[in-house]
Amino acid sequence: MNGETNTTEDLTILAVVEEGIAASDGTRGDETADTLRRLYTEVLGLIPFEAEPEAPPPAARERLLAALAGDLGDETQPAPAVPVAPAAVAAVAAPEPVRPVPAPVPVRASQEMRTYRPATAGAGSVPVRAPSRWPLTLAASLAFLFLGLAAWLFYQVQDQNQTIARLNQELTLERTQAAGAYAQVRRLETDNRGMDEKLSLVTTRAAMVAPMKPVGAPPMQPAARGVLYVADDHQHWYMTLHGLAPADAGKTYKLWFVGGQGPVSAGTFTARTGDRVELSSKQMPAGTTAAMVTLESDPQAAAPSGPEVLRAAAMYEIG
Amino acid sequence: MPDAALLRQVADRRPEALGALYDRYSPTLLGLAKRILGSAADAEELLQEVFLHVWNHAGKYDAGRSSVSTWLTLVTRSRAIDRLRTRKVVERTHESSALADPREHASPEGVETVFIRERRERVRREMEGLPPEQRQVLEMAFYEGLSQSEIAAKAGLPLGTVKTRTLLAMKKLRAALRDEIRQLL
Repeated sequence: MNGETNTTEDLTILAVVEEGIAASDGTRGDETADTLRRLYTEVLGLIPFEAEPEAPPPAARERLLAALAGDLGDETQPAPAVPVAPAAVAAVAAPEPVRPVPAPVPVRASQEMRTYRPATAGAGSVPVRAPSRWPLTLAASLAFLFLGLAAWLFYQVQDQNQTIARLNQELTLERTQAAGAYAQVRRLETDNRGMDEKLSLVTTRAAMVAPMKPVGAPPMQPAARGVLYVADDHQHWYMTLHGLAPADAGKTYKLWFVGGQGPVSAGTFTARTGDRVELSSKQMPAGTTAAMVTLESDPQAAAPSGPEVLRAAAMYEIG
Repeated sequence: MPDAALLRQVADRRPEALGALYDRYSPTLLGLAKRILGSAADAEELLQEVFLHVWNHAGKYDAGRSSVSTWLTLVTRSRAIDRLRTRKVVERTHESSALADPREHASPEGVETVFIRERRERVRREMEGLPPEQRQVLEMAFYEGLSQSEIAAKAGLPLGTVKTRTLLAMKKLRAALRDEIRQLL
């Protein structure tokens, strides 16, 4: 399914649907088998949206971006360069240092003529001149020259490869640091937005405030307290709670807004001893008249089922 | 920016596009992973795997087979089921996530986009509207990765009954969520 290898069990639901449709109604009208499969695939893709969403920790996003930065750094690493050698000296196994080209030995014609005597030479025979060696000497000189040039080029390429490798490492490091700085900027932006929201609450022309008080006779947590602030747009809200004991294992605190349509979940949260809990959002269900905190065994409960810990039953307008 | 356009940018190796997709869908995918695996730590690890998979396979996404949203949720579900089978977890255990700073624990509804929130409300409403017996078989197949035979054995029902309930549930959801599906196509 789009690049993901699945076992056949993943297609079980789709297979059941197709089998059922084929058995109950042989004609599908205008919808082809592919269209039906696509439609029911989208239905499967929508089912997860009923699950309670979970905000991931900010560090998770940073780790992901850092991993991408490392991946992009590997992609820009060039392939190791291959030293280029001239074709004429391709058979040379190892580079040799540059050797001074030996000066060609001057050939003295008289000496050459004295050393060469044919066996049957007699009086009156014409002396034969020995073949000149200067082309061989020139070729040898050129070969040494090319060897030296190849060796020099090889070392140049090696040096540049090392420089490129070092620069790539520095680039990767810079990118990693940039990713970290980027993540820090995002954190600061988040903090800034949070402060903006609080500032908007305390500077609005009119806002509502509701004390959160323990509920029950006797109260489940008599030391717990809190305050809910609602902006005049009845959307932005900020809540602070203190004195809440940590929830027992397997239980979680859940915030509800109560209105004409009954309690609406506003999310779960965790309390630690001595710490203050702060919650905020830009959205509040229309018609909210009260708020409450319950202790739930099922964090995904659609309605309150656990005991009520705190409640804001009265909202006071300020400003 | 539409999901498909973002994914094309991810295929062009633009990390900011993946970050945008992450912001848009990570609460839903993390909630799904936690629902299946029951462990916050495993769910967070799986979320990283999913988005690295998206990064490496964005070029292979086929818009003709599913929407981007469906691709993401089904990839997450598939990997979670694989991990679940590997761990051979029989019972789900729920644990609270440790929060370093209470201030950061804003309600997810406060940071999600409007259209994701509205989609969630509609899907929840329709799932809650299913008859309990139909919802049960659908959830066992989807969240536990059980085959129809395994569901029949576990629930003590005939195989035919399980298939019928699954089919009826899917038909109801398809009809009830047609507007939502039309937006995805």
